[in-house]
Amino acid sequence: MKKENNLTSLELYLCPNVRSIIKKLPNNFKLVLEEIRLRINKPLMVFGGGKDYFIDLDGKLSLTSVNSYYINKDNIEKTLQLASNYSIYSVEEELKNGYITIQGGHRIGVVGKVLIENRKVRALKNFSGLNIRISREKIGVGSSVLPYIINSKCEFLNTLIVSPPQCGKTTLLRDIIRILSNGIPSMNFRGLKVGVVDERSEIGACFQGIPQNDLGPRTDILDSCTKAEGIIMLIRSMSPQVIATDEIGRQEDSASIEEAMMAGVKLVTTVHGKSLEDILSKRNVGQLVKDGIFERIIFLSNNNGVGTIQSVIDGTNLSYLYKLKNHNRLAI
Amino acid sequence: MSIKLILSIAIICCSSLLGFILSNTYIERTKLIKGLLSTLQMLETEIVYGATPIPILLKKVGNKSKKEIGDIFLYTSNLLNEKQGENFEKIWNDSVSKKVEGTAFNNDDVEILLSLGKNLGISNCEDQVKHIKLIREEFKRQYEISIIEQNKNAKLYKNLGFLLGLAIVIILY
Repeated sequence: MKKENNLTSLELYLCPNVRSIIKKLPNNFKLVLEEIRLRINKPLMVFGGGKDYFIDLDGKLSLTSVNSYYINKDNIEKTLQLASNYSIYSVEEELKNGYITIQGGHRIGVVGKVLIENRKVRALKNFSGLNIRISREKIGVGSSVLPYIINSKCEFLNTLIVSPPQCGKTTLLRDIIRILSNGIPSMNFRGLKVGVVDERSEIGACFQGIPQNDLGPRTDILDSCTKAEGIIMLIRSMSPQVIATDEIGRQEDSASIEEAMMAGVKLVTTVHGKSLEDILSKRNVGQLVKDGIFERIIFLSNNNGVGTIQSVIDGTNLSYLYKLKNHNRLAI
Repeated sequence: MSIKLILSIAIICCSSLLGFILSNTYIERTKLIKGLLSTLQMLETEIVYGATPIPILLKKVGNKSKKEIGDIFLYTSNLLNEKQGENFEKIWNDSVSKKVEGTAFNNDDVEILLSLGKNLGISNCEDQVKHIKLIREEFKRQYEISIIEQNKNAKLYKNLGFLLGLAIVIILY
């Protein structure tokens, strides 16, 4: 995966006017750029390094909207045409979920007028805002938790990753999948067959069915499939040793997870949350944790930057295996 | 004497050819519209069952279509792949007006072709189908008109060409 030039590949999906401005951004900001925001009749904005900025016509970042480029309907339509490869109908299903994934694994969130039919989103039209989220695959972030999630007999333990939004949950999950699938020769750990149920296309970031992120050689991906059905489908069809999904929490999920446990499949998944108490209070996930399904629970935060490992808990007896020492630093 | 004979034959041949070419444009147009109708059908099927994105779709369908139509499709597909950032309508209009020259399409046909570009790709599947159906209906009408014109004119021009040549030769004698 050539991720270093991922911004160049992304630029092709922007309409020419916006493209020329984004090109002029300072290089060091390009490295931390996370989001490009296009809102109709509002100034062009970017988000990176934890803050958002207006951009003036020369690509300089500023905190006021003076001399910024104002987005018009044409910009949004052109960008959307480029992003959907001139074919809204081909991304129709994705659009109903509010975003489309483009080559490189970047994701474009879309808002506009929603047409509802039978209480379901039928279509989106009159698009009024786009949020272009730049995907950054961080290879190697998972290695720090490996000693906790693989036991002395070289067995993988059921793992739950808990974190607030934007703290690197999916990034960590993705890297764990990659490592498990590849295997770790130094630990004498053979690669496992991993089945991924990628409901929101965030893990593999599939573009036309092909994952844009490296998930390892032994990985099978069910793209944009609901977790409950996907888990069962994978068990039946691909004989996985580990199943990976993100954002569990629904009632149906628990049932499929139990099914997976019965089939002897290991599990790695994520959930939104801040602390142990927080997830214990959640109905479905809380029950799974109480049942001791997850042998390891990893808590993430952004205390020391995005993806800080706050603590690791042994899920069978809820004791701490690791706790971040430098605890007095406040996140600003 | 023999020179006169050769010249007369040449004149008749030329004017017959002229009549033949004129009559052929009518036949050509009918064939072209017929081809276009099946192309549009392919387009619809690909959108409904394949959800194939436009650049790939145009290439695929273009390769299977009549050359004159395929040219427009393939040219558009190439332009789209360059990702210059123009919208589809503009690119489509450019390639239609460029590639339609020298074909048997008349102004009405070109108008309808251009209107295809206005909506292709910019809405969901259901709307796309409706839109393509509408365009097909319009071309069906053109097809009928074209057949009537062909019946009326094709034979006429052929005969006219030959007879004109004959008339010139008689006058010259």
